[in-house]
Amino acid sequence: MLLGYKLFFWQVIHGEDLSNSARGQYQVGQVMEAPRGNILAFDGSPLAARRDAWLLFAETPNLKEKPEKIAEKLAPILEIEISDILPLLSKKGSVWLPLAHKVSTDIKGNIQSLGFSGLGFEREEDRYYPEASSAAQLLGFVGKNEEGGNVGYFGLEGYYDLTLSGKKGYREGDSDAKGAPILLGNFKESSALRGVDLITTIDKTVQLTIEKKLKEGIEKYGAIGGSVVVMDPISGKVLGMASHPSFDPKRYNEYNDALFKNPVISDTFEPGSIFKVLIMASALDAEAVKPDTICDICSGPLKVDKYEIETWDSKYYPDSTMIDIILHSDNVGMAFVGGKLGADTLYDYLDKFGIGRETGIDLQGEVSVPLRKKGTWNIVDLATASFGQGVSVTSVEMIRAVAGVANDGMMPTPYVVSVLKGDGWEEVIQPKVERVVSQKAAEEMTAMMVNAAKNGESKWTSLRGYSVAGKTGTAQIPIAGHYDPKSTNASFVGFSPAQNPKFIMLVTLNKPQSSQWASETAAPLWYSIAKDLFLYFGIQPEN
Amino acid sequence: MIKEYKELIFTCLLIVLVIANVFFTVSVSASGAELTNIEKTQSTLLSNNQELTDKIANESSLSIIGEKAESFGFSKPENIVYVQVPEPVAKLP
Repeated sequence: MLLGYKLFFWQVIHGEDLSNSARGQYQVGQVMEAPRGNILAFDGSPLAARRDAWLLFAETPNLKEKPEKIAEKLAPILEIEISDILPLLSKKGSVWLPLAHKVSTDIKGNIQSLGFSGLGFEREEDRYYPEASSAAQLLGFVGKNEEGGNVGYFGLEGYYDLTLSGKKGYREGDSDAKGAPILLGNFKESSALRGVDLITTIDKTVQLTIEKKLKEGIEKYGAIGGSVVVMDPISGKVLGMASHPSFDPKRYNEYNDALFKNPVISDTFEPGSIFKVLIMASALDAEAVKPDTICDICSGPLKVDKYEIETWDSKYYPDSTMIDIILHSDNVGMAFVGGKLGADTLYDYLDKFGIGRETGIDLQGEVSVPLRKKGTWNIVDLATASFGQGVSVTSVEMIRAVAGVANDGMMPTPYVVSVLKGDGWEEVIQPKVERVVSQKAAEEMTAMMVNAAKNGESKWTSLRGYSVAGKTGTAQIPIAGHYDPKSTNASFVGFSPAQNPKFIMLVTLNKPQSSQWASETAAPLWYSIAKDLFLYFGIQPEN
Repeated sequence: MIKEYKELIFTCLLIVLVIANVFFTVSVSASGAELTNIEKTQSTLLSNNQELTDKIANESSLSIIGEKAESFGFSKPENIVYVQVPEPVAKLP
């Protein structure tokens, strides 16, 4: 009777609890982490790669040495202060304590060689940057979400986060006392899918060159910052993209958040005279003007409504042709061109050039400032837009539009990732181009830019013999409803060779102090970088 | 007599099955341990492979190669002279 009661008690009343308890002893569930994909340069060398790192932990009941002695030995190896680790080791009542994250395999080996019992390691993933902080704003960084999981923020890490992350796996099965799987027991496995590798269009040589030169240029010209973008104007492949100041993605948490965004895609500015390239190309395409059309209002300042439009150097050239207007970067002449085009046609062309819209580049954080609505432009808006005032663009928006001129009127969509590479498969991203102006208009505009580069205000810095189509831009900075009288943004956009260009490059310097003119700051920096790129791309002098 | 044979055959069959069961269980449990060892080896090899990949990435870093090249006395080409080779005219007699 008693035996029957006991059997009923254990097998029926507590049967399920005991069964669960027993299952807990032999059934093991394990989450299998998916390795994050690597970000590679165009030649397959890593820009950001995953690597094994270790979480150093202490099992306090198993610590045989005194916390002071352990802390004294660990601190120099981990490159931290003893006071950072001693309180953790001395903590009462804890059984398992994490001491340091992302410990490298070399340091792990050094710690293991100390022979302290009670210290252990658990594998975790780390991001490794062979070129240190190079291309930081382009790459973005891997941070933590609220649950402590890895998440990519900004740049490529942010844009391709899901692709790079892969999919975690899970394994569940019965195991014996030693933890070995029992193959006849229950076994379920959902394999982890490793993150996809991104092969980018970035050329490390170009990237490192522009970063070095940009930093030197910013110091030389006393600017507060600047950016350089180099692109293949035929396909839209971004070969290099650098901004300064920047940050170190490895130690992103030590930097101000403002440095995480990429100025090339996230900062807008009034382009100034580099915008004249787009307006003139539009007017040529619309046949509103021809290269030899004479400007009959270029003999002096132009009164538009209550404003007076002047040239940048207060010099006026009566009967200027369109070629002369670009050569002298003549604001009055451009107001003439704008007037010939008309507000609605000018708007349509700017829209075709993608001004006021995001380019669609595969980087997180791109912004754009929409154009004023069609039909609401007054004569002042039309005149000022003609020489690049009253409109805002990002550097990537601007370089894409000028690439449309460089590529015989076909505008490419800029992109950074050319191949997505998974296990056993790959997807090649195809370039996208669209016609914005006719080949004839693009060729005429290119010839004007070649003339401007050779004989314009930046001719002193041009490299003799090389085929360059370029345009300077010195833009005023709008602040609180008016323009800052003391500061400018200086830029230079150009491509080389002028026919069948190998690269297009936009240099922008924010508030240079040595001179307010782009011809004395951005232009020499452009040529200084171009000198190295000519060698690298094998571009030789024409004669 | 036939009944005795039947019992004998049945007993032998039972013994064979019991032995087979024990053998199979032992063999499977040994396979579990073997699987664990294979997984450990795989993990170690992957880890070693990753370390070597890291080393290659580090050693092939352009920044590091640039620094090394500079320390060995290499420098960027300056003052390049391009030589124009005249196009041959009426080369054949």
